[in-house]
Amino acid sequence: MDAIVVDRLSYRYQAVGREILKNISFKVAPGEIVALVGLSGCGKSTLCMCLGGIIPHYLGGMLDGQVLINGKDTKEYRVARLALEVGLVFQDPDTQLFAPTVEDEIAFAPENLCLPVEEVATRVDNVLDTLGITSLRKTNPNHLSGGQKHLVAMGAVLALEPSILVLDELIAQLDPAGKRIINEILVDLRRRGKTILIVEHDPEAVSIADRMLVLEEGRLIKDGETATVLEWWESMLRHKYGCKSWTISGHAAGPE
Amino acid sequence: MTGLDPRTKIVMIICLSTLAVFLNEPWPLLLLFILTLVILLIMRINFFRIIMRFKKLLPLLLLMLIIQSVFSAGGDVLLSFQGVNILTTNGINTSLCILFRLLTFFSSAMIIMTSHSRDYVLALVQLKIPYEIAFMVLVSLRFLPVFIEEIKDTLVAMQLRGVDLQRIPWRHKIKFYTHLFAPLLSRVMLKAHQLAIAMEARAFRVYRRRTYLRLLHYSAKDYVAMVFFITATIAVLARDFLY
Amino acid sequence: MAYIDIENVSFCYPGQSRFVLRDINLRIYKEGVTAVTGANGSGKTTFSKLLIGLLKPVKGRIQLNGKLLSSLTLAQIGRQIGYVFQNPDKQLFCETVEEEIAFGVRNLGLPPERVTQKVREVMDYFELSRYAQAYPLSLSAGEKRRLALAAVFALEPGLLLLDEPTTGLDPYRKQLLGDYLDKLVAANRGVVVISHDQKFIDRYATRLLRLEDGQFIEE
Repeated sequence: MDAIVVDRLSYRYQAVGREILKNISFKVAPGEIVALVGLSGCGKSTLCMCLGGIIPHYLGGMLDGQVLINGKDTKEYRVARLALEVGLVFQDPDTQLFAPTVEDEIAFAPENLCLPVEEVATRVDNVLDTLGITSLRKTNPNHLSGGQKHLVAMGAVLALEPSILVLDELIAQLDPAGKRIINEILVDLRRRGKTILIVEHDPEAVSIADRMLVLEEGRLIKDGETATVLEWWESMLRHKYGCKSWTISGHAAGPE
Repeated sequence: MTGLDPRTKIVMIICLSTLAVFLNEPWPLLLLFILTLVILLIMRINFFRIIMRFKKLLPLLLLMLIIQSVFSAGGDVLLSFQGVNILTTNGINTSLCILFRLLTFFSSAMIIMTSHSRDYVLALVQLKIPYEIAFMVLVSLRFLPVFIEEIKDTLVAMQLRGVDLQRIPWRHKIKFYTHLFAPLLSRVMLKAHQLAIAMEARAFRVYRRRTYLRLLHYSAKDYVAMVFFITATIAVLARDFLY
Repeated sequence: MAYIDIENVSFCYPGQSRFVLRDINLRIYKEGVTAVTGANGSGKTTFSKLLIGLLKPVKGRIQLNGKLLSSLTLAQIGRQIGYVFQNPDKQLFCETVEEEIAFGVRNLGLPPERVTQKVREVMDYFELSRYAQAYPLSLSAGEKRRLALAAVFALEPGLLLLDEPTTGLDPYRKQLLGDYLDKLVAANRGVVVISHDQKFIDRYATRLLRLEDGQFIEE
């Protein structure tokens, strides 16, 4: 069974409004890392919302087509129930951190799963350790730097241990050290058969992906092996949008 | 006393403020205030800055002193002007009571700050309040300072775009403040919505119950402190009512 | 003459003993792109807040165009230094995108038709015209940053101060920002950019300042 199935998906916020997603279809197999790239406003984040069931459950609008997460139709399951299958790390950490300490933030999901206290504690310890943020355990997330907030947001979702992980513009915003940590985690998750969708507009952040999808103005315009599609997209950025090479990657490796 | 259960602290605050309401003479109120300060001292709370803020209230207290003296009869007249009493012992007493009462309210409320906001949520949950409601309280506590910070930054951004808040007349000022509150309100709404999404996306309310990594436990000193505060409060109040 | 003249400036946050900035002597000119880099938490944003008078130096003084910064109001400073916050959400407070850009332009004392024209120009340049009537806070992260940039650029201050301007911008929008920086420099305006986007700095910085242990190292 495919981990993610998107079948002829179209979406608009209002009945008469602009179509944000236009007839999108693709499948992701378990254990695959797929990158989804495109410029801001192309519908990447909207697609993420559809995968977690936030569309249609929280944001109304007109949804056509079907999204299946581990075989479950997102229209028929609550967001909290879908969260057991798919973990979403959103773009802006300030809208997803709400606990008074980093520890509480990470414990939140396993506590919701009604896991025994020892299991919650183990998960929290493990996540803090893998992300290298054990020293921040008792800190208020509000007092962290931008990069640290992103790591905590990632940790909070990792503690859920979902079989599918969706990262919305997480990697490009991290410093080189953070990028390295996240890449290691993703490679490890793939080895354990988890499915990962990386959503980015920075071509350099998606190098570990097995496959790459390109979205333009709500349409899926390319789907193929990473190296080929990346080259194709970069040349499109250069020629169609006049981008110079300095724009193609953001916080590239190198001294901070 | 630093390791007290948040529920004990709430009881302490209730006792202290109840006494502040019912006591009606300056000396006992002063004593109560000093007792509160001693508690804060033991809990290692720096109360100096908060107390200093009361300086701003002094003119108001002075006005109260005169109003009390002029309009309420009784007590010895200390100062009068053309037959109107400006200063009476009664006036001094009443305004001292108000001062000490306010001081006790504010300083006892500071006891709250010695516990983590998470502990209050746990207290609520362990008092059998539905955890959805407890979390609402937690989130609002967490975001209050964030929003205050944001208001400040927005005010700065407005001024940097050419509005001289110090020099424009009041009617215009009000117009600019509306600029401030409309986006703030929608930002609060937006944030609430996004937080609701973020919480449910992390499986919030997937089951009717949930577990907690840390739970609160009453210890012997909690019982001692609670019994002491409750009996002392009742004793003082009973004395007041009997005589 | 230096646009901003910083003399012996030290700063620490109230109640803290650690000095974030120590004895800084620096002149910033109304030309080229000055990049300020440094590790997370090295005091880059604190430095930018000192430059626009949001924080006051504990020691030393800052002069803007020959006038003591502490003697100027924020409104006066804002006309000379355009500041874009690290988080653009905070500086958007109007009902529509058009209104947001017009807010500052109206305070410039231009005739109304010139205001309308200017707002339209800026919106076109930043490709915000299709969102003219949209609610600023409902835009995407990249669009909000673009709008915040546009609203400040519209005031045409002599110096622009941008805190991490490339965060959240896609390659095409980064290119737009870069093109506008080129234009500004050509029009004899100075730009101070706080960033750790190495490629962006390599491409645009005419002067590179690294903040380390509370002091600047010129590179």
